[in-house]
Amino acid sequence: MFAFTRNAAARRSEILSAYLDGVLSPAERARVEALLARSADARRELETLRATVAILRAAPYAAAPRSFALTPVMLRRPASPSTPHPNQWLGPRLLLPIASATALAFLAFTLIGGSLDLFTHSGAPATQPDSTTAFQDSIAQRPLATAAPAPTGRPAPLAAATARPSTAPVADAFAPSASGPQSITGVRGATGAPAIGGAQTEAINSAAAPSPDASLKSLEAILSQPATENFPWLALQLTAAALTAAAAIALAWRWRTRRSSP
Amino acid sequence: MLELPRAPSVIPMDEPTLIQRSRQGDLDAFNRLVESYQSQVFNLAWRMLGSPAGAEDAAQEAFISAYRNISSYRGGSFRAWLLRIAVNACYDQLRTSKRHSGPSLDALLETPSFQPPSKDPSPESLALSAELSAAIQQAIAALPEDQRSVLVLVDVEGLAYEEVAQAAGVNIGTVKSRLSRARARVRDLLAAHRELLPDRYRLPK
Repeated sequence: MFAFTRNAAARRSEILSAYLDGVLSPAERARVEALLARSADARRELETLRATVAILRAAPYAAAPRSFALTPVMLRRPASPSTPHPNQWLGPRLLLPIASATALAFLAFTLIGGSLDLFTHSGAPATQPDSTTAFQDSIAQRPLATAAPAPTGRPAPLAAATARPSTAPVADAFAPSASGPQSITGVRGATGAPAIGGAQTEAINSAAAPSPDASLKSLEAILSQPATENFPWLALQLTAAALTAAAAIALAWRWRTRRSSP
Repeated sequence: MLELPRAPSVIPMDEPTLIQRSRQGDLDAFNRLVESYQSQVFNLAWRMLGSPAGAEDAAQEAFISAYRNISSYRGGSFRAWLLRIAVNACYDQLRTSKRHSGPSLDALLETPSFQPPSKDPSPESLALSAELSAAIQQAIAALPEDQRSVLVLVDVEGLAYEEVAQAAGVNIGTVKSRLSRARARVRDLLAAHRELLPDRYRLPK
């Protein structure tokens, strides 16, 4: 109802405004004149519009403050964006697809590389006594990599932790008092959930501080690892995160531009 | 009925020739067109942008762009074609200033030196006070960009609906409705400054 009255009012304004400019057809003009004859409201509105237009037309007209004549020097500058058909924001427009594609590529690379353990095993001796357990464990954690994707940078350190030789920090990390295989089983048992559930709990424990000692130690273990093992992962994942952020910014920018453009 | 819209500034006698020679790269010929239209282009930009400095930049950009793109002019009203380029240059300026700070209030109140375009300096023009002039400028600045350009083209530059449709790249129905919404809005904003209006323009309550 309100929308209808507003529409009707807008239509009346529109036809009165066109009447002022003398651009109506004879039939339309006759209709407006009939309306004006019977409606004081319409007459008042016409008068206010007439006064407004008269004010606008009487408003001062500024002369050019200087000559805008072109010189050859002006024309040597690169083309400005104000052409008859402006094509602005080429940068963000290209940035968005490029950034998203690259981010996706990196993400896929990370996930596939992570699930095949292509990178993390490279430094670990394959003949360790608990390598089977480590492998099972890495299988259990595979969903993790998908659950917590690139930007956090966490799946890799976790995988690295599992791939470690048993004599070293893995035992420390998961159960300070016991040896590799048992301790891992122990942790899983304690969380009471096999496979994915357990893996996620471990992820949470080692990612967010509040768990006991163990998580701190595992973090230490990760940090004390040779830089060559960690570096490519971290760098790739940070790049992916940065590109994702760039894509998001470009998207937001485009949205703003589209909203404000005529 | 109102008198006809403000008459266009003097059209050069040989405009088609000048356009033709400009197409062939004759900068002097193009500069004669610039001379004929620079006040209109500057004034449009000033009303669109509210600041004389911004208007100067937009006007210069518009002429550079017009010269570079003169091959895209395919007959019809040259003035409408040129003013459309000027409107686009103003949109560019508006976006740039939005990205930075936007025009200050001081810039809005700043006014270039006035000089009526016709040989007949209308006493009404001179009678309008500086405050009213600033109020008009603020009311125009408050309009959405699409309504602002149509209002400026019709009520300030005196273009016909058809020319505006060509200049803004829309149909006449759109021109009519944008213009009427813009006028109604300016009227409401000016009503707040009723005391500044000379008797002749007093808005009925």
